Amino acid sequence: MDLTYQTRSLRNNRKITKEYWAEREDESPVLENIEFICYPKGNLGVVLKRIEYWQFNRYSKNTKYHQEYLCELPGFSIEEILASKRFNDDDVNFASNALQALKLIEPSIEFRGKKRFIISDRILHEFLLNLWIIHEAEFSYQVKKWKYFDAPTSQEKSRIINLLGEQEAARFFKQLDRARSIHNEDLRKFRTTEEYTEYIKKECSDFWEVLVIDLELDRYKEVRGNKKLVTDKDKKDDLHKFVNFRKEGLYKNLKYLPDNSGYGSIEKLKMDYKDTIEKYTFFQPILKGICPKVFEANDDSE
Amino acid sequence: MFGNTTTTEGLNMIEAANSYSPEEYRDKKSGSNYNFNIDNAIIQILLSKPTKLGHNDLKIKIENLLGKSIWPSTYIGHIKRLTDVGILCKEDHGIGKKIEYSLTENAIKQARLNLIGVPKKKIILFRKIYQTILFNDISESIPIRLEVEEDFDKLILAECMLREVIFNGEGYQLQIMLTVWISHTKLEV
Repeated sequence: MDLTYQTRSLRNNRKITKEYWAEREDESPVLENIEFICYPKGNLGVVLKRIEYWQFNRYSKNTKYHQEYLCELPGFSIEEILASKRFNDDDVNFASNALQALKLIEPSIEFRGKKRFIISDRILHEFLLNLWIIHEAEFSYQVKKWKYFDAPTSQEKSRIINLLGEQEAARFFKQLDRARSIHNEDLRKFRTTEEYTEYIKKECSDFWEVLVIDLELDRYKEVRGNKKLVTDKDKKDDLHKFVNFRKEGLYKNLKYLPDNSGYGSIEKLKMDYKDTIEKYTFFQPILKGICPKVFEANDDSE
Repeated sequence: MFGNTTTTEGLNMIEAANSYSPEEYRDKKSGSNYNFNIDNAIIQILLSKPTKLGHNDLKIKIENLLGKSIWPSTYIGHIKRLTDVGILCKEDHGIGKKIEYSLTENAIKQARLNLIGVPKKKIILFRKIYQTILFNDISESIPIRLEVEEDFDKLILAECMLREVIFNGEGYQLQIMLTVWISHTKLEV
């Protein structure tokens, strides 16, 4: 089958290439990914992608060195849930039937002979997506807290046990306890904040985390002012102040949970989804496990 | 924060009404003596027909189900607590007349989902299943990845649903809103 794209191939499209180089001052060649995204008609939630991996050359022919296709499917199939081997067939089937009986989920498409279900109420789906984004933000802050500063509280522990199961949670906390103890030991060796930031940057899994650490250091220096650090003691004190500065920032983030979902605060999310929260009150024990803060009583002191 | 007291009160009320949590209640209020079998019996009895029962009828049914008699004060304690947390709805028909109990709408839904009215272990298990189901496509969905165009064609052709959609009267063209992204920069083409 020929796949006809509404856009001509980049290889022949001079306009796109010209625009591309006009926007950039990079030296040629540049490696880029191009994603062709396709949403089949009927709003089925299927997303087809063709990803092309190119080497763009300013003065010579561009070369495509690889391409791949992705097919993203909506919702879930019962088989996928069972494949995780966390639950038995009868329980998953009971849950799926109960959700269907309450019209919470509905069949969407059949793919490779397996029925896929989606959440019937798109606003609920949108709300769940936002909860998950907050959950991920909270979880990443918590991991930092446990890794660098403090042991988990019993409440935090029980929440992770509920999410991961006893065994997995025990393994997870053991790793974090060890990481925290190494961090605290290593902290004694560093003489300056710069040395320390280089050390924690090595632990980062991506560029954004490195960027965040640089921003933290810049902010700290702004707050500290141009104080001259002459003696070793001054430098060491400065390092401890920076560590505390990071810790305070982290605790503040944990309290207010800034996130990437576009919601400045959890209160705003609660307001926007007030009707959905009310409509699905019976579902709160489940959603609370993912994002308890959204279901906590409002803090009027703010 | 936003000066909307109605919303705040509304959400706080929901929070209060939804605070039935077997494990938390056991820890905070009644110690380890609280008998959840009585709660579960009340919920299961009222989930089946008749869904509304008088004070004494309900007590007899609970005793039959549990195979033992329960103290009136114990029974009243359970009824009061289930009413307070929004599980039971009490209908008082006036002085000297019958008091009837039924499950609230939320409680019926929760019971049908195995989120109340069953042993604690089962409640926790079902919470996990629902979390997995509801957040599966958000958190765990992995796309099908193919490297060869022919395999991709085969995949699409094999799926009738997709074929119908794709060929929908428009010839050999993917019916798409095509957006091209170059490393997160959207190009208008």
